[in-house]
Amino acid sequence: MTTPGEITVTLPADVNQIDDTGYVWAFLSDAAEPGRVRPGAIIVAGDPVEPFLARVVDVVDGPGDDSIVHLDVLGVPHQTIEELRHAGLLSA
Amino acid sequence: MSLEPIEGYLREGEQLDPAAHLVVRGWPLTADGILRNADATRRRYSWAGEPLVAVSAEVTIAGWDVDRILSGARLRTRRSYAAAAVGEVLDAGFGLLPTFSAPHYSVALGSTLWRRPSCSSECSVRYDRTPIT
Repeated sequence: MTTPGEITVTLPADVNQIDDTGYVWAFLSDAAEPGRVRPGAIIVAGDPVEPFLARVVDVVDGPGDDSIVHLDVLGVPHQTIEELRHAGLLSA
Repeated sequence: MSLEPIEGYLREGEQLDPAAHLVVRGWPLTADGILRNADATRRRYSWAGEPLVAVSAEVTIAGWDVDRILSGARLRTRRSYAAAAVGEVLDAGFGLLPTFSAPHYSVALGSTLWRRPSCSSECSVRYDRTPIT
């Protein structure tokens, strides 16, 4: 079983934190590998204790030189894993 | 781009029942989570020209209850939540701003905290911009 210390979150984010778009938002600069955070990408976001899967909606200008990432929350990882196994796309 | 004034995203005319629940779910339930959330808001938004230090939460305003809030697409990904009565939050000196789309609220913390009148039966959503000293 994976422990929180072994989980790499692509973008730290908080599902409580929305803006005027209605989407969860986070700063691109908080990503360890910003290149993985691009519009349309499916990423693991949140925190290592309770990560969630999200689709990157867009990346827009933010304060200073930073950028704001909008995320569409898709669900928790085990839901996706279960579906991929069901479809035979992931071995049991 | 400079800080965005939160004043442009406030909902008007909303009434708060002091017995309503303020709900936070997931990551902010730790001190680290609260600080991260508040810091992110501070880096993006201002209130009365000063950086806004605030935590995102949701409130059971009219048409909403705790179950509906927790079952939403975002918050249902979290396993745990905390809730407190709105009146207790206000009486403790925190500021509540009805921001963005309902039922989202910003709970103002720290040096940018604005005290609101204590409410016994109903809390009007209005803003007292006198900082706590």
